[in-house]
Amino acid sequence: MDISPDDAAQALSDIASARGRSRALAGYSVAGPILVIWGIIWLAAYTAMGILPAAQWGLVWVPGDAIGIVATILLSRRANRQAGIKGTTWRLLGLMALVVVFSAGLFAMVRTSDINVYFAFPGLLTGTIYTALGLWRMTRYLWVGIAVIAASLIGFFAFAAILPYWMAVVVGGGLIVSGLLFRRP
Amino acid sequence: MAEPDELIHQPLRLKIMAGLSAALGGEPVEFSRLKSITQATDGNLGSHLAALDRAGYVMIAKDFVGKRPRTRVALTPEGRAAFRRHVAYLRELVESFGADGT
Repeated sequence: MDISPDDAAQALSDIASARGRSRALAGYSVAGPILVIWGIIWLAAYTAMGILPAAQWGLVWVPGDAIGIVATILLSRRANRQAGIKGTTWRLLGLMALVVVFSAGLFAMVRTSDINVYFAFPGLLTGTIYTALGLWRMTRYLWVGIAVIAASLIGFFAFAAILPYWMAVVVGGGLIVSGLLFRRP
Repeated sequence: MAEPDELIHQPLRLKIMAGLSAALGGEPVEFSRLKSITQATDGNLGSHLAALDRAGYVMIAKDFVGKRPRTRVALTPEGRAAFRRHVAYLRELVESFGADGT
């Protein structure tokens, strides 16, 4: 069998592309349920924010975030073990701590009295992280990220009076739909 | 020098073997996902999988999830070894050309 060096180089390139697509699709199948879980948490917690007084919002968000964090770690751990990736739990926890520090620091500096900023900010931040992830590795996150940013901004500027419900249905519901679509090949 | 594998060195079969070799934990890959990885048609993918199955390079398992038929494919140990040898051959070819032919 006669293979030229150019053919060999092209074959190696095709192999790398196929392996990359395979890994990306495997990653989406792990990420899909995680997005669905966070979408359900946002749907419930933002709805509660619309109904409950501000002093009780923590009663919904703290357990909701705890469930989301644990689910994210457990669901991604098996896949990372199979891929030979170590230390993911600590990296995930570190990323979440970074988000908390960034958010707390920002609001300590900005000191806004507009409650809607607190409603919309998680969507803006999450959408930015997803967009960055999509630009770097997994393209489907790019579209989810852009959609979450857009929905958060549209809600903030156009639907201020019903913003918690907008965030619950449009952003939370959007995450659920995205997670279900992620599982498609 | 490693030897080329004529069966594997066909564009779609290379992509099939590459896609299966990257599956997490060596787990079987569903036909629909393999189709997406290789961007092949159903018929084309099916016939090349059959060729790799006859050679003992892949294992094809068919079952049902509820009422939905499911086909999953995984590399056999022989297939994984053959793919590694072929990739090694390709790399040697490129590297030796780079050393002598440029």
